[in-house]
Amino acid sequence: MRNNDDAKLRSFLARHDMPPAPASRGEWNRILDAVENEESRSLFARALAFAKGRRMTFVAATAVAALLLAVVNQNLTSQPEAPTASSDDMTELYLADASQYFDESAEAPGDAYLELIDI
Amino acid sequence: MMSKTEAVVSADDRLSTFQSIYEEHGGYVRKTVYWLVHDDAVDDVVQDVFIRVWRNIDRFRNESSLRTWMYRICVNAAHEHFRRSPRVAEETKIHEPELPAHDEDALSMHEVIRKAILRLPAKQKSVFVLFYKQELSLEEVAESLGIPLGTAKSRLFNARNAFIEHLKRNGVDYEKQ
Repeated sequence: MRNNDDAKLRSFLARHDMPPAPASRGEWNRILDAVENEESRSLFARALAFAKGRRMTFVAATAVAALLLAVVNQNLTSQPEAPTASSDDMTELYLADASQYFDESAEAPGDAYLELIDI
Repeated sequence: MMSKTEAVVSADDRLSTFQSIYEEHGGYVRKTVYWLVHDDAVDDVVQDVFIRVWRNIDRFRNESSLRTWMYRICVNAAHEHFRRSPRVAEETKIHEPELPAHDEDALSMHEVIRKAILRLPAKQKSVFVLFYKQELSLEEVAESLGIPLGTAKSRLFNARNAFIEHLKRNGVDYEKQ
């Protein structure tokens, strides 16, 4: 009986369904921008957590976090060696560029204090 | 420690996995979010869903059901939206006027239905949308939301009654439509 009622209600809802407005063409780019912002914010959060884990005062922790972040950023933004003429493969260029943003080894200082992010 | 090459390949792999998830799941994510929040918040909440996906993408790879995860993220992101904007939640609850009885012509049936769903309390709304709109089984709903089956049943029962009551107040008998 209950299953029948559920089926009726589902059917009623399906009959009057209308799809939401489709995603705009720029949605994927906006998501990528948001992810990039998220990455830079999370680096600072990790650095701050690291400093606070050392039982520093808030001001000191913030200062240390900023310092750590600057060091991490320095690592992230340091340019890889320019590709030589023999490494002109565009894939390599792309990967080298991507490594500036995603080099996971650069996250090591804060990893020990990184809390699992609840979804 | 991961070598430079491994790190680069991993980063590239992470990004392409992320894009695949967006392309494959973006459609029903948007549909689910559409039933959970108001129009002006849909884009923001969808974006929030995919930021959460990005944060947890390494954990997804070990999950048997990505879809289950995605639904949970949609619901959490919608809840977070209302938590951050209590004013919106209050307006929905208090200030949204009841439609006068038998005045359903003023709005399309679709709008009446959507309004009835959006007025449900958040926890009931999540269960209702996943069960009736996304047509998940009750077991899948419970798994997606991380709640016991009995709790899912109880919320669905209450949500269903509230939804039908709202329709009746607006002169709609769903069994005759």
